[in-house]
Order: sequence, then structure tokens, then C-alpha cells
Amino acid sequence: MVRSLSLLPVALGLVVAFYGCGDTTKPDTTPPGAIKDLTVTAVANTTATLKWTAPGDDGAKGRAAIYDLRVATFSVIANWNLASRVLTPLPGPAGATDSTMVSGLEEGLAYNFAMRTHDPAGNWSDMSNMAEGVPRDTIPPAPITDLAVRLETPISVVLSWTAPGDDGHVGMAFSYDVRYAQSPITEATWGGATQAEVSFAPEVAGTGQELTIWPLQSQTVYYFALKTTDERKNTSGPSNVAQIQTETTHVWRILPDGSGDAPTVQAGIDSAGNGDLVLVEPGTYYENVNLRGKEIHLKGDAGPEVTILDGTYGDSSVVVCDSGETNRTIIEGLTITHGKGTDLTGSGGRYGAGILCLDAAPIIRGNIIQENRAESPPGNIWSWGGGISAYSSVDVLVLEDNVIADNFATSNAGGLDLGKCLVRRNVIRGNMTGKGDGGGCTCI
Amino acid sequence: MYISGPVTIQDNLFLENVASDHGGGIYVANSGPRVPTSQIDIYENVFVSNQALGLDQGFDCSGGAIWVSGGAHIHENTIAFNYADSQNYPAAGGICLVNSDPDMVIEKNIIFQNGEAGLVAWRYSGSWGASVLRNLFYANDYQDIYNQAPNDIALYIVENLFEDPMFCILGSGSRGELAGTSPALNQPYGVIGAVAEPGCDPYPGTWGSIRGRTPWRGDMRGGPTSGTRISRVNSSAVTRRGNSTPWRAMMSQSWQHPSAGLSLGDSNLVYKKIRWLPFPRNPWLPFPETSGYLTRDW
Repeated sequence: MVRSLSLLPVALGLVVAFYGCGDTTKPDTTPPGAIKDLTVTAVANTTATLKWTAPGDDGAKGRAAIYDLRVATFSVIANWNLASRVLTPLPGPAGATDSTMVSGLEEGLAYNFAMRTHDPAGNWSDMSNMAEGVPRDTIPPAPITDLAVRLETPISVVLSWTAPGDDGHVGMAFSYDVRYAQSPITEATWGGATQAEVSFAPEVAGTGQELTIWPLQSQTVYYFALKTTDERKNTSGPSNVAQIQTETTHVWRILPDGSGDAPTVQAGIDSAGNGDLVLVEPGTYYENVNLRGKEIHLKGDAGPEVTILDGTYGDSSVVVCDSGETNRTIIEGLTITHGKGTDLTGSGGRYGAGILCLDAAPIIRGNIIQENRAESPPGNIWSWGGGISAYSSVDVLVLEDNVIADNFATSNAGGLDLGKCLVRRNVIRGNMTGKGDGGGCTCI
Repeated sequence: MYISGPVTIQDNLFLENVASDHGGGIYVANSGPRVPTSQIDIYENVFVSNQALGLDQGFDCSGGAIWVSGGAHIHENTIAFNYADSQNYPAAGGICLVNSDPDMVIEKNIIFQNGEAGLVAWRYSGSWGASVLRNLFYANDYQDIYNQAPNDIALYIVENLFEDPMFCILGSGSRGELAGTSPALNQPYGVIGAVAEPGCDPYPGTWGSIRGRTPWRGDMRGGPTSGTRISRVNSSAVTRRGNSTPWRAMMSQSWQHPSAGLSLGDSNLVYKKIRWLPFPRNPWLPFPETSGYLTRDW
């Protein structure tokens, strides 16, 4: 306390000297000039950067004392006292370009900014012009630089990389765009490269991620690259390009007269190894087949209209996957018809008349699945899934670009009886239940 | 069996499917061991002329296009001309929500000309809820949105539209395009419904507009008489309009919708005749001369 009192006269003397009280003849009554060029020069997701020309102490001369910058989502000029004040650096000399970054803003809102200046004598300038800015995330994720590729099977590869961030290497981005081609990928050739299916989102920056691409052509050189996009559609540049050559795979050609590489479709499946293609030529095949856990591509060579798996003479599902098939098993380009379903419980009830997947999740693509019937014998016995029954605890079943039509189930799920699934771009028409729920599709 | 993981149903055409009980197009029961609502995603699909007849245990709202319980995110679908019946009234021709959790979201769908009602929230017991946001309802019979238990089901109904979606005339190869001036295409929060592309300008004003609608041809049970029309709807959260005659009264009638000949699907879709449905003909079916199925021209 004693020390403070002893310093008081010294402090008063400094204040008098600073404000020029010694000059009693001409008090400073000239305010700084009003700022006329306040501008928002840049915005980020929560910040805005402003710049302006510093006024002087007196009009456009000298150096002012302090700025009073206000921000609001309404008109700052009309509601000066309601706007929030923002700390700024001290004014530069008259004519200098001053700037500041305002942080803590909310992305997407329109903010108004205006400011006044006062000099050491306490004279306030008029209001500046009002500048407007909308904070936006404009910083893209950083390009990936560690993309690597390895062979998993003769015709499948695994890509691996480290996740970038939302802004450079910070945060978590929104999506990936993975491309591959048989020639080197550049920014110029990006649009012509094949886009891979990516079913997951980027993880937090720094996390390792992997993607399997399958099937590819055998004995072919492939190039891979990817870009990352944040939720504001800021996209990184392309990653480094990874390259690999696939290996030899075998094609098992099946003909309806039995003269192909294997006498029947089932024999072709049984003969095939992982990564092989079982190519079914046009014709009607009266078979009920089981994929037996093979990571193969079962494909109708000329499309489903002319390649028919017909279960008329069997007493079960036309196609069965019950050995842990994953998305590396593909069933494509077939008509699957006249199935009767599989009795899973011994009660006589039928499940999955066209296709039955038990703890299996193949990709079912581009097929026509029609006129299959999961019918119960008399009594209160349940039958589900006229077209497909699929239950999986492994991969997500993928069902895309199929026509599922005119199937019937006595109980529930006339067309589709699904659990964990991705169902897209299908036509699901004219399916029916006899005494239950889900005419087109049941997800239970 | 219960849903064990994510369910994504996107960009499909559900056409003329029939459930004898619930869920003519889709039946989603996410009320056993629950999957997070965010993982049950039904979007950008077209549901036309599906039926749920409520014949077996039809004690709730049946759901001509969709029956769903628990939680799901149902958004940006076009749901038109579907029909449901139930032992209760009204059944939901469009979407039937049963014991829906408060995080159920019905958002930005076109729900158009379904009978008996567009969307019904139903509960067997307990307290439930759902959000109904930014959908476009129009010309559904009886009501667009019906809450069976207003004291027990908290419906959060916000920013829905109740006006003509302005579909184009739908012919072979159409995907249900909307006129460029359709309210479904001109909202600040994005497109409503599954069909984004503007398809006809100037708007011809037939399909999708009550102006071209065929009058009722009488009613065996004393329902609406010839010339009765559904009146144009003013914007309001929940609208009750026209007459309240049950749709089931019209099931056996010969009634041709002006959209006869409609096909929804890619331009490479063609028709094949298969067979007639064994159920009484639904007057909403837009194919009075065939019940054939769509198949892709691969």
C-alpha cells in the first residue's frame, strides 16, 4: 500500500505528458478519418480475415490509438451497441494496411463487420463501411502420399493408405474417390479411370485404411490412385499412383450340352479355385447349385435373358451360399427361376426359394430372379423369401441391378428376406406374400 | 432373425408388390435388438402401386409402401398410388410407423395419392415419436398425416408441403419426372422425392394434378358419388379434406387412373405380361390392362 501511494505522483506525471496537457492552447478535437475500405479477404470454416487502410490520428495524418471492430449476424451499423466487439492489433501509421483474423465464427452464417477508430485524445471516427463474410471450409484434405497395393488373390488387390484430415492433415475427411485404370492415372486422365466402390468413410487423420478391389482382369497391369473430399466438397489432389500386375486366373466355360470345361454349372463351381471365373453360356440349366464358399465369379456370359438356372426339377433353393461366402463371391447375369426353397427347420417350411444365403454375403448383381415360390405345406408352418433369403453375420450382402419379380412366399417376404444388406438399383415388382408381411422386401 | 447390421435400400423401384398383411413394398422391423437408426437408410426409391391388405393380423396401419417399426431414416423417396387396408382406419397407403422411436426421421419424400392415408403413426402401447420433415404430401385419401394416438406419439411435423408435386405425363420410359416449376425441385433444402431431373416444361397439368382426375364411378356402400373430387389442399401441418369413405369400399370397382400407361424406371425398361394378381384389383394400379413386370434390357 505504501509503495503504491509513493508511485502515484509519477504515474500522474506520465499521463499528463502523454496526452500533451502541457499544450494548453490547442486541444486535439480532430477525429481519425472513417475507414472506407474494410474488406473480408478470406474465410475458413470458423474464421474470417479482414483488412483495411489505417486512418491517422487527425483525419489521414499521424497514428490513431485503437480500433473498435464489431461483428454480428445482423447489421452492425444499425445495431452497433448490440454487436460483439473483437480484439484487434493497434493501428499502424496512416496509410498502412492493417488486418486481423476473427475466429470463433459459425460456419455458414453471414457475418457483418464494421469498425471505428479513436485517437489518443478520445476522438471517435465515423463508422467504417460494413463488410460481409460467410465462413466456409475452403481447406481441402492433404493429398495421400503413401498409397500402396498388394495382390490378395490372382485377380484381387488390396490398397492401403493413411487417412488425411479434413483440413490438410487435421480432422476427419468425408469421402474417398478411388480410381483404377490400365494406364497411368494423372489429373488429366482421372475422369476416364474406373471408379471403385468404397463402402466406408475416411477415418481420423493418421489412421491406416484398406480397400479390396475385385474382380480385376487376369494378367493385367493396373494403376491406382485416390482423392479425398471433405464435407464441403473440398477435394485433395490425386495421391501417388500405385501399380501392380494381376496373375493368371482360370475361366471355366459351361455349355448347356455338357461339352464345356465342366459338364454342369455345379461341376464348374466345384472345379474352380478362388479367383476363377465360371462362365455360363446361353441356355437353360435345370440345376440347383451351391457355391461351396468359393471366391469365384459365377456369371451368365450373355446376360440373364438367355442364361437360365431353372429349379423346376429340384426341391430346394436354386442357388445356395452356406459356406461363409463373402463379397468376393459374385453371382451375375443369370435368370434364377422356379426355385422351391430350402427346409431349414425340418418342419416343411421353405426359405429362399430363388437364392438362400446362410451366414453368407455374396454380391448378387444383374440377375433376374423371378417366379420362385417358398410355399408351406398345410398347417401353420412358416416359409420366407420367395426370391431371396439372406442372413449374414459377415459382410453386408450386396444386391444390385437385379430384377426381382413375381416371387411368392407363404408367410413373409414375397421378394426379399434380408438382414444386413445393401440393396440398390433393383426393380422389385409383383412379389407377394400369402399370409404375412413384406410383399417386396422384409428386413427383420 | 433380426436386423444384425446396416440396411441400405437405395434407388430401387418397388412396383405392384402385395403383402397380405403389412408392408406392401418394404417391411422393416427394427424394434428387436435395435440397430442404430442411422444404419437403417431407405432413400431415393420409387414406390408405386404396392399394396398391404391387412388380412392376417392387420391391427395397425399396414403400410402400402412401407411398414417400419423402431427407428429408420426414410428420405427422398417418391411414394405414389400405393394402397393399404387394415382392421383399423385409416391404414397408411404410404408409410406406416409403428411404435417408432423419437429418432425415426421421415424426410423429403413425395407422398402422393395413396389410400387410405399418406402417413400414419401407430402405437400398440407406450409412448413413441417421429420427425416428419420437409415432405411433400398431396392428394392422399382421407388425410396426409394421421396420428393414431396424439397423446402418446409425439410427431414433430415441420416444413412439410401440401401441394401438387407437378409430375409430368408419364409414358413409357419415364422415371416420374417433375416439371421444372415443381415445388419438389425448388426448396432451399434440396430436392424432395426420388426424381431430381426436371422433365417437362411447360407443365402439362395432367398426371399429378387433380385437374385430370377421373371422377368416382359411384360406390357400392354409399360412398362418394360421381363427380366427387378431392379438393385442393391448403398448406397446413395436418390436413383433413374431402370425404372419409374407406378405400376398401372401392376395391372391387373398375376404376382407371388417368395415369394408365405409366411406367417408372429407366428408359431401357420394357414390359412383359405375366399374370393377373389373385387379389381384388386395386383401383390405384396404373396398369389396368396388364400386371406384367418390369425387366431391364440388359
